[in-house]
Amino acid sequence: MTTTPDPAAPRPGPGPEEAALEAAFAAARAASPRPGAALMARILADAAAEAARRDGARGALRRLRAFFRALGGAPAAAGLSLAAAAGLWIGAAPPALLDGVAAAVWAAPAELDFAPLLQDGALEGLDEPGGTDA
Amino acid sequence: MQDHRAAAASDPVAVPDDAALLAAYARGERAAARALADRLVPRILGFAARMLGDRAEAEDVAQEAMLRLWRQAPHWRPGEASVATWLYRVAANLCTDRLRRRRPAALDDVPEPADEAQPGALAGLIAADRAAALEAALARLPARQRQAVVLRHLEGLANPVIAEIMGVGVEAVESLTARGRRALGADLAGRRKELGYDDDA
Repeated sequence: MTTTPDPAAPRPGPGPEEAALEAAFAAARAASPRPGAALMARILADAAAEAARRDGARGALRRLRAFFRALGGAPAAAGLSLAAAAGLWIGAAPPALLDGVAAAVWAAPAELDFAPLLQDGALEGLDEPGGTDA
Repeated sequence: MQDHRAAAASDPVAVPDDAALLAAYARGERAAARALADRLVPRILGFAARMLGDRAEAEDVAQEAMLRLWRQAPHWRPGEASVATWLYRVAANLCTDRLRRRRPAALDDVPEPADEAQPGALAGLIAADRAAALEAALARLPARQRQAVVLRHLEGLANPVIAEIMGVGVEAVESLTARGRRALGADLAGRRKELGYDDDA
């Protein structure tokens, strides 16, 4: 047969070991280390630097958004991206069709002859307003 | 202590809570950072100092934990977690990393109890000596027990909060705390008279 402890009965107080431990905890709580001014200054400097870094990033994002808005918003940004991608593709793997175009553009003369321009008087008047019409 | 903190945190009229201060800092209010640091750094520093037994290392941990809080500020979701609990968890992980990196012969670094061959010199010990004796006994506890005991009995946190910080169940916290208390009690028992505890009874 088991007996149920009477909840109203006085409970035994803490033993000497428990009391000693509680006293030690209280003493340790009272002696908790306090942060010095140097540590607080370092921590607040971190906070300021982090806020400044965030502000800088936000500013760059704002400028980028303003740039695309000035270009014409999202459609312009999409068009720009498409053009950039197409340029990259053509540069990396040019289609065969472009060989003919390139050949037509860069056909003879292979060398440009600047000799006539260097003759005396050929460039006269170019640095004056009105040019050679004067 | 826990009740007092809980009451202060739940009273929106008295002072802005930690999450409100963090949100204010994220909006660019620098004064909120100071208020938050004044409130949280002493707690984190005390916890880290007891975990590591080294003031300089504890300061590094406190600074690093606060830096992570500053970085987290814009992403903080109110109501999801307590700022203090989050910060304790970060500090606990930083302390664990540092303890793991220490050389295995760390027992050599554990502070020895005061020389028991000088009972006369110990007769007038004051509370600071009791605190020092407890700190030394804490340093001899296994790290998990030490963490649970410090959070419960020195930081005054409730067991569910400690469980969240340590990433374990409440039962595990109760077990760690009970074992830690027993070990501390046994450690201090031999020194009870010289530390003046018997005079308190």
